Amino acid sequence: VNIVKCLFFGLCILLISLRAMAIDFGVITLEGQGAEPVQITMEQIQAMPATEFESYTPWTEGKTHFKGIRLQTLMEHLGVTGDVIRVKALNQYHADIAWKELAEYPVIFAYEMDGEPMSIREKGPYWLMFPMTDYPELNVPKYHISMVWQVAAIEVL
Amino acid sequence: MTRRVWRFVMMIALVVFLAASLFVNFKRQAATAKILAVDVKTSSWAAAQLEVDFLQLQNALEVYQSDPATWNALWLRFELLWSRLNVLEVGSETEKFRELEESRKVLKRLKALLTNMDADFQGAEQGGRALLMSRMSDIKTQMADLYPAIRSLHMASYTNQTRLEHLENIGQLERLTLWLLLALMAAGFALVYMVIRESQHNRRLAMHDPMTGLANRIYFNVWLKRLAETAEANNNQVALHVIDLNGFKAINDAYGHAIGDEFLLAMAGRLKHFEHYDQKVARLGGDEFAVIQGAVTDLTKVEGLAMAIYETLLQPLTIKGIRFNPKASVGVCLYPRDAETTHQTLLNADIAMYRAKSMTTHVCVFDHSLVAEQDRYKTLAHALDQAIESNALELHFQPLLDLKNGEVVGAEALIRWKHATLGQIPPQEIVSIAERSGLAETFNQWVLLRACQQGRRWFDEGYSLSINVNISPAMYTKYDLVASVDNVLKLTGFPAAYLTLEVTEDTTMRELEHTPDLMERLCQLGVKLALDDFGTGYSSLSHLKSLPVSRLKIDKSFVWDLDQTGHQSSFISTMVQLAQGLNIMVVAEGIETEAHYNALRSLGCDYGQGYFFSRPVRASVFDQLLIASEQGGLIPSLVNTP
Repeated sequence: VNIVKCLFFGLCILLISLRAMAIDFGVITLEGQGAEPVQITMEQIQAMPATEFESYTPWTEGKTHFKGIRLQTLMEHLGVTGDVIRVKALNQYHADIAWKELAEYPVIFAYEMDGEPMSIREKGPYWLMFPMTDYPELNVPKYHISMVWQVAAIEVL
Repeated sequence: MTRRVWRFVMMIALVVFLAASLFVNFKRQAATAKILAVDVKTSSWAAAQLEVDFLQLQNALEVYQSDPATWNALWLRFELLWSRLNVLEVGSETEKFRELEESRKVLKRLKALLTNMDADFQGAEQGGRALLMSRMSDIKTQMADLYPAIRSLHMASYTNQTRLEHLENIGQLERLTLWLLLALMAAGFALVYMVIRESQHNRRLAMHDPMTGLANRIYFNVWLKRLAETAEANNNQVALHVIDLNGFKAINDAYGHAIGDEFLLAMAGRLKHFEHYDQKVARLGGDEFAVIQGAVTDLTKVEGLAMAIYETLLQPLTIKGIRFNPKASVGVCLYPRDAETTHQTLLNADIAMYRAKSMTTHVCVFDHSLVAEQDRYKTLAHALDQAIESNALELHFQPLLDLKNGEVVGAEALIRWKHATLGQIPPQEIVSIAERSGLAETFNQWVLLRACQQGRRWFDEGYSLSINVNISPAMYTKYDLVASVDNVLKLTGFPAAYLTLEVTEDTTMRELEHTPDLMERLCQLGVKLALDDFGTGYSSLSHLKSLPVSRLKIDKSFVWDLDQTGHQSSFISTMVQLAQGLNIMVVAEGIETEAHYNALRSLGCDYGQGYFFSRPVRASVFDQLLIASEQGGLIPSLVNTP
């Protein structure tokens, strides 16, 4: 029984710790807007209305289903007023995006790929995804370089 | 024709070349774009990122070994390297990277290494960090083993042959594109040039007469309008000279169209000399030409040019050994002096030209009296056709007497036509109308037929009268007179020896010079010829010698002058002597008084006609004259003498 209790306790700790890790990387930090950086968590993001679409990408096989929060929605939620944001990745990759110009497209910070949350290995936890199949005009190198994976922070320029 | 085919082929070739180069260029550009997008971005970038991520993990391991608190950073680096591996294994962007030699082998080794490390890292994440620490040197060795392969893959992505070739290709493509663009531009210019040339050629064709190269009627109208506008603006005149080549149809008929065309070309060539900057020459069609003389201020210059044209065209020429004496009529009209529109100018010049045909010098400048003349002509030409059909024309006969005994030996048939509104039409005018309106043959045939029918009737009644008929000049050149005469003689049964054709000196003689055998053929029929109005025209004694003339008619002007001077009598006696020497009978015309009669008789004149005996009368009246003449009744003095 003790062993079982111990195992159960250990599992709980493991789950909590894993969860703690996940939350760590699931946070997006907003910088450059005001004095202090603002953080928004996966829970907060998932609590907001989601947008979904399917698209082919140069980095996946076949058509992939993406679910996430619309760039526009997040920017408005965070009260971003600047025209250009710098989207930063965990590996220090970044891309500058004039987000207001993309208003007509359902560009999302995807947090689910084919119905599963995305690990870092799978370009998670957030992948800035453009609906390239629905809007072929987005399927160009200019936007390819903007589709930052492993998003960790947004800096308002 | 071959030029046309060649041009067509050139055009097609150019279009095909344009299309082909566009297609090739498009394909090349697409290829360039792909090379630039895929090659540069992916294989090099991907290989570089792999090396960075790999080195960062190695670095994180070192840091962690000395400071275990940096676990999170190490774990992130480990996950990021995994992520890199996944990116390189899947998707179109990294396709070129996977094509690099060794890349698959390196990825396979990396995957094996990461999978191997995975258990240790998962364990460490769950708290078993001691195990990871114990495995550290092993992991570091394995990673150090793999690093050179990753490094050389990164190098290869930058230096490998395919990539260099691609870059080289891009350079070549750019140069090729440049050449293609130049070629396209050249082809474009060539096309534009050809289109311009073609349209110029078409314009030239549309504006010029293909045979003579002179401006055609369309271009003529353009020029006439242009010069007319200039004349109005400068307050001067434009003179339009319309030129018709007389007797051109006869040349065509006699020698064929090839000679006819050469003749026209020669005439056109002569007219071309009159072309300069405000003077334009055009061919209006057939044998009709025009010279437009612009900026006229001095009317003598107009007449001067008309005469110059006329005289230039008149120069004899030889084509293929055939000698031609061209004849032309020039009609001139001035704008705006003589006409309100350019169209009217042309019509008036035409009227003047037709008038010129019946003048001795065939040049006529338009004046408004010619319009009335023209209207009269139109009315009469229309009426003449019907008059012939309906026998509204009449033949009158004037007796021809033997001056020795007063016997009627012949009759001259003279045409009479009373038009319903215009009254009596002079015979000369009837003849000229018939000729101008193309009725000459019908008209002459009618006259011949009527005269011979009447002659035959008198013959049947026992009067062997010689019938004299005037034939219009055109019959000698344009139509088959011999066949006409032959036909009428057969039809009426009138003996040929009693038919005399009267040839007018000035008009007919010149026509006859071109067809000398015509007279021979008429004589062969047995028909006699009389030389009319002798002594007034361009008489030449050689005519008397060369032509088979059997009668000579002394013009009435010589007879009428007999009253005034004795001088004239020596003229007449000389003519009589000349005729007698040549065995030609002499007829005196216009005998109006007894004095004339006596004088001519004493001068030895054979025959006579005139009002003294009788004016021309209808055939029915002539019958009474014949009866009277049997009693010598036509000569008043003889009547009075028992």
